[in-house]
Amino acid sequence: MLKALNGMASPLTLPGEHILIAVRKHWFVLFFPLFFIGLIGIAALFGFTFLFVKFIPSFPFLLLSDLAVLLLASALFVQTLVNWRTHMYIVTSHKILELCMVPLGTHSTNGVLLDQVRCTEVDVKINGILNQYLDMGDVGITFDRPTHQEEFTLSDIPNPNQAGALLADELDILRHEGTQQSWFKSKKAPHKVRYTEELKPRYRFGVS
Amino acid sequence: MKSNIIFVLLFFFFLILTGYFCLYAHEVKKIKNHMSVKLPILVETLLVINIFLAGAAALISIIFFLIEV
Repeated sequence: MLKALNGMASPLTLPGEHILIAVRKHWFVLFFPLFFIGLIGIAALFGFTFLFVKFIPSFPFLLLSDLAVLLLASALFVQTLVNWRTHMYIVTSHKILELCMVPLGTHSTNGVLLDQVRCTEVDVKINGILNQYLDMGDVGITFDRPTHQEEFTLSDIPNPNQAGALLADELDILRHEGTQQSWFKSKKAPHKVRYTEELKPRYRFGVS
Repeated sequence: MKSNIIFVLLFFFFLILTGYFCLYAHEVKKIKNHMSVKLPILVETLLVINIFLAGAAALISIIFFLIEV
């Protein structure tokens, strides 16, 4: 389930940046909105049919009212599916992004640059029996900033345990990659420890 | 007389709905290309069907109006 979605994020990544996770919300979040749209649509269809057959017998109004209900229900159905499809979380080796592009609505991108913050916690939360059964939950990534704490939540994603573990590992690796080691152990002579500046003198004092 | 006004109102309602569906489909296509997202075939088909159905409904309402007049 945790996979890069058909090169979807390729325009969003820089050279040398790789995608760790690209997920959407779980399909189950669609169930209740679509169920209510269907229920209200069917009820309105029956209501208008009953009205224009029993009380005000009129074929043109029956046809047009049923068409209007069908079109509105279909529009809401399509909008719900498109909104779900265009809302995604992308975690790369450089940043965490929440993309939300509602057609003819809100276009929002919420991003955190990982080299500017320090990740302190990766929390997984699964609430309730249904979410346990469907393996759906939230992954909260907490960043410790000098001034305040900020949490980035990947809400209602599938396989939150797997995603949380993967993110914790990857963010830990990135943290270690970010820090420069001063001492280096050679493979040929592991008992000897060499100072990094001797191996890479051009990096001395940060001047290339 | 009263039904004539309702038919005209319905015509404009379906006309606006057709325009909205066209704009929506265009915007979805733009976002799809921008984000390289694949949409389910059901959604793409419904987007097209909605445009034609709303146009047909506008046509039907104006035909009913003409019959009444």
